[in-house]
Parts: sequence; C-alpha cells; structure tokens
Amino acid sequence: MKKENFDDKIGSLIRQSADKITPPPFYSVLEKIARNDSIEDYESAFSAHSDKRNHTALKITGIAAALIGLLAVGGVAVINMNGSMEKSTAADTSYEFSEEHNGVTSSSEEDMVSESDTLDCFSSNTSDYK
Amino acid sequence: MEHKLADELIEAVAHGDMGALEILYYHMYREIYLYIFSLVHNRCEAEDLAQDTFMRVYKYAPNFTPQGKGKSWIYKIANHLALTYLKSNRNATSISEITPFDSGLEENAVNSQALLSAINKISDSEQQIVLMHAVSGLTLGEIAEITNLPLGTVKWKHANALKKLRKILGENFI
Repeated sequence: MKKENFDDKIGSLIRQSADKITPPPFYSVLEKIARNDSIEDYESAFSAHSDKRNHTALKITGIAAALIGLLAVGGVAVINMNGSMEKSTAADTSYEFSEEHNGVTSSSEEDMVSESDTLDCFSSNTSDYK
Repeated sequence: MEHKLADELIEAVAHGDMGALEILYYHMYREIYLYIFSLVHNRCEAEDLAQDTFMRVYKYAPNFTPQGKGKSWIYKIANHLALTYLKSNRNATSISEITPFDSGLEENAVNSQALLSAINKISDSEQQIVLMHAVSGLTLGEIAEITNLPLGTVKWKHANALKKLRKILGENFI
C-alpha cells in the first residue's frame, strides 16, 4: 500500500471510529453552565458580602475612632472644667474670706466708732451732768 | 467544521446564542472527547472534561478574538482542562482505558480494532497528533500551537507515529 493511501486509510478509520461516539445530550452542558453560574453568583455575592463586612468594619472602626476622639476631647474638657471649677472655688473662697474679713473689720471699726461716739456722747453727756 | 464557521459560532455564543453553542457542541464533541481521552485515558473523565470544555467556551466566548482559529481556541481550552486534571490527579489511581469507545465497531471492525490497538502502542503525544490531524483536520502548525510544541517536533512526531503504525499494522492492513 502506498504511503499516502495508508495515511488516508488510517485517517478514515479513525474518523469512522470517532463517528460512533454519541455525544451526551446538550442539556448536560447547559446544566453545567447553570451550576457554574450559580457558584459564581454565590462567590460574587460572598465577596460582595465580605466587602460589605469590611465596609461595616471600617465604619465601626471609624465610629470607634470618633468615639475615642470624643472621649479624649470630653476628658480634656472635664479636666479643664475641673481645673476651672477648682480655680473658681479657690477664688470664691478667698473672696468670701476677704469679704468676711472686710466685713468683720468694717463692722468692728464701725462698731468702735459708734462706740467711741457713743462714749463721747456719753462722756459729753456726763460732763454736761457734771 | 471549518475554522471560519467555528469563529462565527463562538462570536454568536459571545452574544448569548445558545443555539450556536449547541451546533458547536454536536459538531466538535467527538474530536474534543478523543483528544482529551488521548491525554487522560479514562472515558468517564474524558466525557466530563469534554463537556466542561463547551461550558468554558460559553464562559470565555466574550474574550475570543476571531482570527480564523476558532477550532484551535477550543482545543486549547480542552488541552488546558485535561492538563489541569492530570496535574491535580497525578497521585490518584484511576483506571487507564485502552479505547475511547464503548462498544465494538460494526463496519471495518477488524481493521478498526487493529488500528486502535496499534494507536495504543505509540506514545501519548504521537496519539494526540495523529488524532487531531485525522479527526479534526487540524494542520500540523495548528497542532503545534495548541500543544505548545515546535512545528518541527510536531512534524517529526507525526511522521514517526505513522511510520510506527505502518510497521505495527503491516502490509496486510487494508
């Protein structure tokens, strides 16, 4: 047999054999496509969910950071407030003290004056009686 | 199937035409199955991987650029799937089957059986080249592109495979 004929014969026999193969029904491919699509949908949904979770985590972190910031600012404010309160309390005390002191002084001086006046009057009155 | 027709059908699949995918499937399933079988030597796996090939044709059709190489593109998908399967099942024990056919062949049964027996005696890469060339009508250049082998190697392997087959089958082979 010539070389070309032999090669052709081989090719022809292989093709004949291949023709005997029955492909599975096409719907089995469609099923695979549908299954694959649903897996991909699930995967994309899952990745979207994890993105959302990451986003939520970021939001929570942001809120936490904001809260910490607020607490820090609040703490400083409280410290400042306490400081000013203490300061004002000290000032008030000193004020009260000085007022009290002044008052006492003034009242005692007034009292003394009035007493002396009274004494003078009394003395003058007594001299008059003399 | 001609390359140009394959290109047109793949383009139609890219636009969601499932009818085009069905035509591709029924025209090319046999050769894809035979090609995969020559790699994995397991009918069941070859059938499954051949179906997976068309599933991927549907999936990747939007990425396909028509250049008159539609059939080669589908073969590349089949080649990739079969090699991935072999890689992931390297240590798995599977039944290595001799022929890709279920039942005996009525017409030219003796010759066909003798040929299949002879084909099994040549190397895997030689089997693939002979099958692709004989069944799909792919040129040796296209086979070189699909298998990532130099064209010279493919030509040499093809000639060598035919020489071996002639020797095994003898002069009485009709």
